[in-house]
Amino acid sequence: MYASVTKTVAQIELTEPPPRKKRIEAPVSVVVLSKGIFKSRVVSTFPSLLVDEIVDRMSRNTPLSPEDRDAYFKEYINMCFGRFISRINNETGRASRFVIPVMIRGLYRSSPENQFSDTAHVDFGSDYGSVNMTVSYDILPEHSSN
Amino acid sequence: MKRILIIDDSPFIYKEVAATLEGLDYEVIGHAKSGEEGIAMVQELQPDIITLDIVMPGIDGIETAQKLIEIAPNTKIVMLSSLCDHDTVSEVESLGLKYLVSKPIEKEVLIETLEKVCKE
Repeated sequence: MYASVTKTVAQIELTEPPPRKKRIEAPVSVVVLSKGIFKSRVVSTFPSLLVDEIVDRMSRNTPLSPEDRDAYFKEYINMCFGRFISRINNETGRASRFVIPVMIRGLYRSSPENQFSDTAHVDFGSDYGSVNMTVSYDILPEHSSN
Repeated sequence: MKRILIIDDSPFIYKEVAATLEGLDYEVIGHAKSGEEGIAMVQELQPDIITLDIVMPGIDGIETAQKLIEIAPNTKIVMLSSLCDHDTVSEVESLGLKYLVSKPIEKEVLIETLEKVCKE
Protein backbone atom coordinates (compact mmCIF):
# COMPACT_ATOMS: atom_id res chain seq x y z
CA MET A 1 0.00 0.00 0.00
CA TYR A 2 2.76 2.46 0.92
CA ALA A 3 4.77 1.61 -2.19
CA SER A 4 1.99 2.10 -4.77
CA VAL A 5 0.44 5.24 -3.23
CA THR A 6 3.85 6.86 -2.68
CA LYS A 7 4.79 6.22 -6.28
CA THR A 8 1.49 7.63 -7.57
CA VAL A 9 1.30 10.81 -5.49
CA ALA A 10 4.98 11.62 -4.97
CA GLN A 11 6.89 9.62 -7.59
CA ILE A 12 9.17 8.23 -4.86
CA GLU A 13 10.15 4.56 -5.03
CA LEU A 14 9.86 2.62 -1.78
CA THR A 15 12.12 -0.38 -2.11
CA GLU A 16 12.69 -3.75 -0.51
CA PRO A 17 13.45 -3.53 3.17
CA PRO A 18 17.00 -2.55 4.04
CA PRO A 19 18.49 -3.76 7.34
CA ARG A 20 16.38 -2.19 10.12
CA LYS A 21 18.10 0.86 11.50
CA LYS A 22 17.95 1.37 15.22
CA ARG A 23 17.25 5.09 14.88
CA ILE A 24 15.20 7.07 12.39
CA GLU A 25 16.32 10.68 12.12
CA ALA A 26 13.69 13.19 13.29
CA PRO A 27 10.94 10.59 13.31
CA VAL A 28 7.30 11.24 12.51
CA SER A 29 4.99 8.52 13.79
CA VAL A 30 1.56 7.69 12.48
CA VAL A 31 -0.84 5.51 14.44
CA VAL A 32 -3.84 4.01 12.70
CA LEU A 33 -6.41 1.82 14.42
CA SER A 34 -8.90 -0.38 12.64
CA LYS A 35 -12.09 -1.86 13.99
CA GLY A 36 -14.35 -4.63 12.87
CA ILE A 37 -13.33 -8.20 12.13
CA PHE A 38 -9.75 -7.02 11.50
CA LYS A 39 -8.85 -5.24 14.72
CA SER A 40 -5.45 -3.66 14.51
CA ARG A 41 -3.03 -0.96 15.51
CA VAL A 42 -0.54 0.03 12.84
CA VAL A 43 2.37 2.22 13.89
CA SER A 44 4.49 3.63 11.06
CA THR A 45 7.62 5.67 11.65
CA PHE A 46 8.86 7.96 8.87
CA PRO A 47 11.98 10.12 8.74
CA SER A 48 10.88 13.76 8.53
CA LEU A 49 13.01 14.15 5.40
CA LEU A 50 10.76 11.66 3.60
CA VAL A 51 7.58 13.25 5.00
CA ASP A 52 8.73 16.65 3.70
CA GLU A 53 9.63 15.21 0.32
CA ILE A 54 6.26 13.46 -0.07
CA VAL A 55 4.38 16.67 0.84
CA ASP A 56 6.54 18.83 -1.43
CA ARG A 57 5.89 16.53 -4.35
CA MET A 58 2.17 16.24 -3.61
CA SER A 59 1.94 20.04 -3.60
CA ARG A 60 4.30 20.38 -6.57
CA ASN A 61 6.46 22.59 -4.36
CA THR A 62 3.67 25.11 -3.79
CA PRO A 63 4.24 26.81 -0.42
CA LEU A 64 1.84 25.44 2.19
CA SER A 65 1.05 26.45 5.76
CA PRO A 66 2.24 24.03 8.48
CA GLU A 67 -1.41 22.99 8.98
CA ASP A 68 -1.84 22.24 5.28
CA ARG A 69 1.45 20.31 5.22
CA ASP A 70 0.09 18.08 8.00
CA ALA A 71 -3.25 17.79 6.17
CA TYR A 72 -1.48 16.70 2.97
CA PHE A 73 0.50 14.06 4.81
CA LYS A 74 -2.62 12.82 6.61
CA GLU A 75 -4.37 12.49 3.26
CA TYR A 76 -1.41 10.46 2.00
CA ILE A 77 -1.81 8.18 5.02
CA ASN A 78 -5.59 7.98 4.45
CA MET A 79 -4.98 6.89 0.87
CA CYS A 80 -2.46 4.25 1.97
CA PHE A 81 -4.75 2.85 4.66
CA GLY A 82 -7.85 3.00 2.47
CA ARG A 83 -6.04 0.72 0.05
CA PHE A 84 -4.76 -1.47 2.91
CA ILE A 85 -8.13 -1.97 4.59
CA SER A 86 -9.85 -2.52 1.23
CA ARG A 87 -7.50 -5.43 0.54
CA ILE A 88 -8.09 -6.84 4.01
CA ASN A 89 -11.87 -6.51 3.54
CA ASN A 90 -11.78 -8.28 0.21
CA GLU A 91 -9.68 -11.08 1.76
CA THR A 92 -11.87 -11.52 4.86
CA GLY A 93 -15.14 -10.87 3.05
CA ARG A 94 -16.21 -8.53 5.87
CA ALA A 95 -16.04 -4.78 6.32
CA SER A 96 -13.48 -3.42 8.76
CA ARG A 97 -12.90 0.30 8.99
CA PHE A 98 -9.91 2.39 9.99
CA VAL A 99 -10.14 5.25 12.42
CA ILE A 100 -8.80 8.63 11.24
CA PRO A 101 -4.99 8.50 11.69
CA VAL A 102 -3.09 10.29 14.43
CA MET A 103 0.25 11.90 13.53
CA ILE A 104 2.91 12.45 16.18
CA ARG A 105 6.19 14.35 15.83
CA GLY A 106 8.62 11.95 17.54
CA LEU A 107 8.48 8.29 18.38
CA TYR A 108 5.23 6.62 19.42
CA ARG A 109 5.65 4.70 22.66
CA SER A 110 3.11 1.92 22.85
CA SER A 111 2.03 0.47 26.17
CA PRO A 112 4.08 -2.56 27.19
CA GLU A 113 0.95 -4.71 27.25
CA ASN A 114 0.20 -5.76 23.73
CA GLN A 115 -3.53 -6.31 23.44
CA PHE A 116 -3.20 -8.05 20.07
CA SER A 117 -2.36 -11.68 19.31
CA ASP A 118 -0.11 -11.16 16.30
CA THR A 119 2.47 -8.64 15.23
CA ALA A 120 4.20 -8.15 11.89
CA HIS A 121 7.01 -5.76 10.97
CA VAL A 122 7.45 -4.34 7.49
CA ASP A 123 10.19 -1.93 6.46
CA PHE A 124 10.62 0.13 3.31
CA GLY A 125 13.68 1.94 2.05
CA SER A 126 13.86 5.13 -0.01
CA ASP A 127 16.38 7.77 -1.03
CA TYR A 128 15.04 9.84 1.88
CA GLY A 129 15.36 7.22 4.64
CA SER A 130 13.51 4.14 5.81
CA VAL A 131 9.94 3.63 6.95
CA ASN A 132 9.29 1.13 9.75
CA MET A 133 5.80 -0.27 10.09
CA THR A 134 4.55 -2.47 12.92
CA VAL A 135 1.14 -4.08 12.51
CA SER A 136 -0.42 -5.55 15.66
CA TYR A 137 -3.65 -7.31 14.90
CA ASP A 138 -6.39 -9.80 15.66
CA ILE A 139 -8.77 -11.33 13.18
CA LEU A 140 -11.92 -11.78 15.22
CA PRO A 141 -14.55 -14.47 14.76
CA GLU A 142 -17.33 -13.36 12.42
CA HIS A 143 -19.95 -12.84 15.15
CA SER A 144 -17.66 -10.46 17.08
CA SER A 145 -17.60 -6.72 16.69
CA ASN A 146 -14.73 -4.35 17.51
CA MET B 1 -20.30 24.73 -18.16
CA LYS B 2 -21.06 22.25 -15.36
CA ARG B 3 -20.78 23.58 -11.81
CA ILE B 4 -18.98 21.29 -9.37
CA LEU B 5 -18.87 21.28 -5.57
CA ILE B 6 -16.08 19.32 -3.88
CA ILE B 7 -16.89 17.82 -0.47
CA ASP B 8 -13.67 16.50 1.03
CA ASP B 9 -11.80 17.28 4.24
CA SER B 10 -8.49 17.20 2.38
CA PRO B 11 -7.05 20.40 0.84
CA PHE B 12 -4.87 18.13 -1.33
CA ILE B 13 -7.87 16.48 -3.00
CA TYR B 14 -9.59 19.82 -3.52
CA LYS B 15 -6.51 21.22 -5.26
CA GLU B 16 -5.99 18.04 -7.28
CA VAL B 17 -9.57 17.99 -8.54
CA ALA B 18 -9.55 21.73 -9.26
CA ALA B 19 -6.23 21.46 -11.13
CA THR B 20 -7.47 18.46 -13.13
CA LEU B 21 -10.57 20.34 -14.27
CA GLU B 22 -8.84 23.61 -15.07
CA GLY B 23 -9.37 24.58 -18.69
CA LEU B 24 -12.13 22.00 -19.15
CA ASP B 25 -15.85 22.60 -19.31
CA TYR B 26 -16.28 22.57 -15.53
CA GLU B 27 -16.38 25.28 -12.91
CA VAL B 28 -15.41 24.38 -9.33
CA ILE B 29 -17.81 26.55 -7.33
CA GLY B 30 -16.85 25.55 -3.81
CA HIS B 31 -15.07 23.32 -1.34
CA ALA B 32 -16.81 21.92 1.73
CA LYS B 33 -14.56 20.29 4.31
CA SER B 34 -17.25 18.16 5.96
CA GLY B 35 -20.54 16.50 5.17
CA GLU B 36 -22.45 19.03 7.25
CA GLU B 37 -20.84 21.98 5.45
CA GLY B 38 -21.41 20.25 2.12
CA ILE B 39 -25.15 19.84 2.73
CA ALA B 40 -25.45 23.54 3.55
CA MET B 41 -23.46 24.54 0.47
CA VAL B 42 -25.50 22.30 -1.85
CA GLN B 43 -28.69 24.02 -0.71
CA GLU B 44 -27.13 27.43 -1.32
CA LEU B 45 -25.15 26.83 -4.52
CA GLN B 46 -27.19 24.08 -6.26
CA PRO B 47 -24.27 22.50 -8.11
CA ASP B 48 -24.72 20.20 -11.11
CA ILE B 49 -22.19 17.68 -9.82
CA ILE B 50 -20.73 16.88 -6.39
CA THR B 51 -17.53 14.99 -5.74
CA LEU B 52 -17.88 13.42 -2.31
CA ASP B 53 -15.29 11.80 -0.06
CA ILE B 54 -16.34 8.79 2.04
CA VAL B 55 -13.99 8.93 5.06
CA MET B 56 -14.48 12.31 6.73
CA PRO B 57 -14.73 13.54 10.31
CA GLY B 58 -18.33 13.99 11.45
CA ILE B 59 -20.92 12.44 9.17
CA ASP B 60 -19.25 10.26 6.59
CA GLY B 61 -19.70 10.38 2.84
CA ILE B 62 -22.27 7.59 2.72
CA GLU B 63 -24.57 9.36 5.20
CA THR B 64 -23.93 12.69 3.48
CA ALA B 65 -24.89 11.13 0.13
CA GLN B 66 -28.16 9.84 1.59
CA LYS B 67 -29.06 13.35 2.73
CA LEU B 68 -27.96 14.96 -0.55
CA ILE B 69 -30.11 12.56 -2.57
CA GLU B 70 -33.11 13.74 -0.55
CA ILE B 71 -32.44 17.47 -0.78
CA ALA B 72 -30.96 17.66 -4.28
CA PRO B 73 -32.25 14.67 -6.27
CA ASN B 74 -31.16 16.14 -9.61
CA THR B 75 -27.56 16.76 -8.59
CA LYS B 76 -25.17 14.04 -9.73
CA ILE B 77 -22.81 12.58 -7.13
CA VAL B 78 -19.38 11.08 -7.80
CA MET B 79 -17.89 9.36 -4.76
CA LEU B 80 -14.10 9.66 -4.30
CA SER B 81 -12.42 7.27 -1.90
CA SER B 82 -9.38 5.17 -1.22
CA LEU B 83 -11.84 2.57 0.10
CA CYS B 84 -12.69 0.45 -2.90
CA ASP B 85 -13.53 -2.95 -1.42
CA HIS B 86 -16.61 -4.95 -2.41
CA ASP B 87 -18.63 -3.78 0.62
CA THR B 88 -17.97 -0.11 -0.04
CA VAL B 89 -18.87 -0.50 -3.71
CA SER B 90 -22.11 -2.28 -2.72
CA GLU B 91 -22.91 0.42 -0.18
CA VAL B 92 -22.45 3.12 -2.81
CA GLU B 93 -24.52 1.20 -5.36
CA SER B 94 -27.30 0.60 -2.84
CA LEU B 95 -27.80 4.37 -2.74
CA GLY B 96 -28.35 4.32 -6.49
CA LEU B 97 -24.98 5.94 -7.14
CA LYS B 98 -23.00 4.66 -10.11
CA TYR B 99 -19.64 6.32 -9.75
CA LEU B 100 -16.82 5.63 -7.32
CA VAL B 101 -13.39 6.98 -8.27
CA SER B 102 -10.53 5.57 -6.24
CA LYS B 103 -7.85 7.68 -4.57
CA PRO B 104 -5.13 8.52 -5.38
CA ILE B 105 -7.08 10.07 -8.25
CA GLU B 106 -5.95 9.27 -11.75
CA LYS B 107 -6.75 12.38 -13.76
CA GLU B 108 -7.90 10.51 -16.86
CA VAL B 109 -10.27 8.37 -14.77
CA LEU B 110 -11.81 11.43 -13.12
CA ILE B 111 -12.29 13.24 -16.43
CA GLU B 112 -13.75 10.14 -18.09
CA THR B 113 -16.13 9.63 -15.15
CA LEU B 114 -17.34 13.23 -15.26
CA GLU B 115 -17.89 12.94 -19.01
CA LYS B 116 -20.11 9.91 -18.38
CA VAL B 117 -22.01 11.82 -15.69
CA CYS B 118 -22.61 14.72 -18.05
CA LYS B 119 -23.95 12.44 -20.77
CA GLU B 120 -26.63 10.97 -18.48
